[in-house]
Amino acid sequence: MKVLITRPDHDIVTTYLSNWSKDLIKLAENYGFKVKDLNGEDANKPLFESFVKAQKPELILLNGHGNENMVCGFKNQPLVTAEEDLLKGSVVHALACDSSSNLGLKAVENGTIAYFGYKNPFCFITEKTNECRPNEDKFGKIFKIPAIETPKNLISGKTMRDAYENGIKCYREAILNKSSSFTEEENEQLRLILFFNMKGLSIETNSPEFKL
Amino acid sequence: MNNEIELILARLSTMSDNIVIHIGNNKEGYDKEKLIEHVKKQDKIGKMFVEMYMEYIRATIKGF
Repeated sequence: MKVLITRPDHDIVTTYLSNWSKDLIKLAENYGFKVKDLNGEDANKPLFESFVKAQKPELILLNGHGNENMVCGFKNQPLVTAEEDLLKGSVVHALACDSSSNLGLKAVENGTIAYFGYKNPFCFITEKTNECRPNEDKFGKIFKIPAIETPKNLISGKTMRDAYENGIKCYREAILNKSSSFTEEENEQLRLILFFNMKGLSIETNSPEFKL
Repeated sequence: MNNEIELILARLSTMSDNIVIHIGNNKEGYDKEKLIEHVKKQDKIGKMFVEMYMEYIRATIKGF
């Protein structure tokens, strides 16, 4: 099976998302997926489109900025929009803002097996003293864990329904987990933003029992 | 200033100075000072933040 992953890294937000997805690449390789990593400048429309059309990846993991009608790549150029049927036949997870609202719906209408994404802006917290160092950032990793839980489930062969529910469960556990490493004020802000992301995580699918 | 905004400003006043919140597609992150400014102005970010916080507060009462 093939997985296509897009990892633009042109600003702080995309740098963090790109870093978080490195774990998914390793996991996919361990599960025997052939991984196509469109990293940095390679997360562009021509490369994305040509790979999808030629290789028809079973799983597409999108990272980047977005809105209700598109997910973007490097320097925010649109990679896929609601008007296209590029995602037909694939399972898609988009770590991007708002794309489930319309792009996700249209994608499933056009034959995408399942579209996981967010119905509102995706948010996270970084540590001012460690900004742009995702591996050292003590707050960033709190958001990474639930953000990559659903894609991890998809890679490891869970059903679409279970992948979604496990993603929600992971967010809920993160919210309820009061870390003694942080102050109460820090915990409150972490919980607030985790809650917002949990509320936004959504799935569109006609095949909830499907698994890769 | 309405009660909700006052409540959120009070919560924000205790926010750690080491926190930067990245909201959606916005290029800049928001620290405590910037968030307080946006909430007071009640611009797009300010309104969104108040709405987000109020929903969170209601959820802490009802349960997650």
